[in-house]
Amino acid sequence: MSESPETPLVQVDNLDKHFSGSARFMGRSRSVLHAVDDVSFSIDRGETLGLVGESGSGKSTLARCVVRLHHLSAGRVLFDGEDISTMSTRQLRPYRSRMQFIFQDPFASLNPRRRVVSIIAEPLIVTGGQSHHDAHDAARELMVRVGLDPRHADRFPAQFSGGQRQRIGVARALALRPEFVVCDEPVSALDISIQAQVINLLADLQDELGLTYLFIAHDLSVVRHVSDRVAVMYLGRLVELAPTEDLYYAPRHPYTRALLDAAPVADPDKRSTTSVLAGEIPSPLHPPSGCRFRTRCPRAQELCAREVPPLDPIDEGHLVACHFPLEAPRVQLRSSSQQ
Amino acid sequence: MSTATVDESSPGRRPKGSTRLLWDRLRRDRVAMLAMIVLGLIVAATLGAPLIAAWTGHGPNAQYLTTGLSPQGLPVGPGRTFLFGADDLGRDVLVRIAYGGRISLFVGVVATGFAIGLGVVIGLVAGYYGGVVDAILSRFMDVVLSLPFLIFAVALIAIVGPGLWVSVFVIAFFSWASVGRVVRGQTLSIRQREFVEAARSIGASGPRIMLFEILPNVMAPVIVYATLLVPSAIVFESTLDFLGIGVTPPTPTWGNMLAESLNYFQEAWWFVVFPGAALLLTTLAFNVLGDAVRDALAEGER
Repeated sequence: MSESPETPLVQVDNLDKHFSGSARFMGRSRSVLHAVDDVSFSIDRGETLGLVGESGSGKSTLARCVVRLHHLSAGRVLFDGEDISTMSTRQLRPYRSRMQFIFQDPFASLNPRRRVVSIIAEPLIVTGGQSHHDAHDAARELMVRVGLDPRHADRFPAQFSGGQRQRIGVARALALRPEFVVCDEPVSALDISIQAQVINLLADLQDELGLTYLFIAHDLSVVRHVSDRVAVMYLGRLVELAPTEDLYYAPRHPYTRALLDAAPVADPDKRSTTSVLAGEIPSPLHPPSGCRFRTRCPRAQELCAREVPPLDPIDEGHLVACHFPLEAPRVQLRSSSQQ
Repeated sequence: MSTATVDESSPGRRPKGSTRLLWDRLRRDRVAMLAMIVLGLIVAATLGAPLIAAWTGHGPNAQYLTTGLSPQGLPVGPGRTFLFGADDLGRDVLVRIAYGGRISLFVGVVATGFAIGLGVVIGLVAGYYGGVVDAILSRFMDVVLSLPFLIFAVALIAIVGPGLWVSVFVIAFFSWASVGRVVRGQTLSIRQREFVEAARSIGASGPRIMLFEILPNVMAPVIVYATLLVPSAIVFESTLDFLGIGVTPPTPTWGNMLAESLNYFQEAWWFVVFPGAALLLTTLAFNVLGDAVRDALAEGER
């Protein structure tokens, strides 16, 4: 908290995460899954960084590495200037209260056999060091804060709807007054009508508490709504990182373009320049050489198979990892979306 | 401060916990209720053993040579003075069964308690930490499970000498591993669930996660196992007594009463039937109850 305001709250440098599969018989051909490969980015205080990508692109793994729910294979994570990437569980404990995680599945992430009040109070007891009684009182206040009826404090998770359960997850994440919250597809499991409520709740809480978010989603419209900047991930690598409006108006990476085109548009006349993405996302066990997107890229050339394109600035604050990036539209729509 | 008023209004309709729901379902099961009534009567009879002794006027170890034995020296059958008959030494079988039940139930419940406690702890640790810890503990459980119970019990007691607590520990030692295996398996799958990851993300320690997140979710099979372990522990205890390496005479137990009856049961049927019936009824009631608990838990998966 004493750090200068220029230090990003979260800085990720060249993060790798590999999962080694089970060794086959006689130890032959041990397969390694490259979930996250050489990813770097930073998040400023009070900022929301959106992270989008297809299922299996490594979004959740990356997020779990950032808050050290996973060990990193390589690279480092700086939280408020401190390297937390190699800390032990014990050393991490003071940081646990400063960074929290909201899970995707509000059904799996709440213990079915605990009452809601004790689920929300748990972080206060475990890391906050509060007494059982104080923590339960605070948990009831948190329920009010996230829009739950504290009279339902003694219920079990099964007695709540999906949206209410996600509010419980939010309350648990906020109990320790964190600075940084990772939202791992917090609304993907919810009905459309409920999604907006939860997103607005998260936005309100950000304003009130000055939270910094890493917001993961595969729904581009949700990310656009909440994010200051957006990072696009493909097969374990970042392919583009830009301020939200830049990315949506002027995507420079063919993959981002394809993602945006694939998103349903409400206006039937607008579906003109659709570039349909051919094929499936390749297996992360055997990623393509060079640029990982080349197998599905309409612009791919021989160079793309040979060299990995670095994530380099192409415009102010706009990074793209492509040998042959798309042209920027002639009319530049610059918008300063930093708040 | 504005929430203070709401705080106090909640306890009125506290939703039922899983234990309460289990009890509600068990109450609708007639066979389970019958088993519980039978067990209740047996427990009452053993706890009230001194009352039975006072009512009949016969002590558990006292010999009634004039009233209990015929002039030829044979034990008298069930009748007015000896409700369940007398044994070869002229002792009251009813009173001895009541006292013997205390030992059977005590050993059954206490040995099961130790076995469950040890099995749960070892199973949780093996399943949660995995890796080398799991490999060592799992192999240890395999070894315990593959030991032939009777041979080792006989050998062990030959060394340390018989006694009530020796029986308890021997039985617990040979019972915990199966509990441990079940708990380990459950823990392995529950540890993958997201709420465990959530607990880690708020900084909960391993022991706390095992105790508060995983244990409540493995309790269902543990409860079933407990109700089924009690009768098997009672039978184990009776077996040890029967072989003369459990609780030693003259203290009555169902097992050593059966052993003593071996030479006489052709003339004195009551001598074998009543202790045998007590043992059968108790284990049957526990087994029926265990099955009912299992059914009730399966019905209430939530």
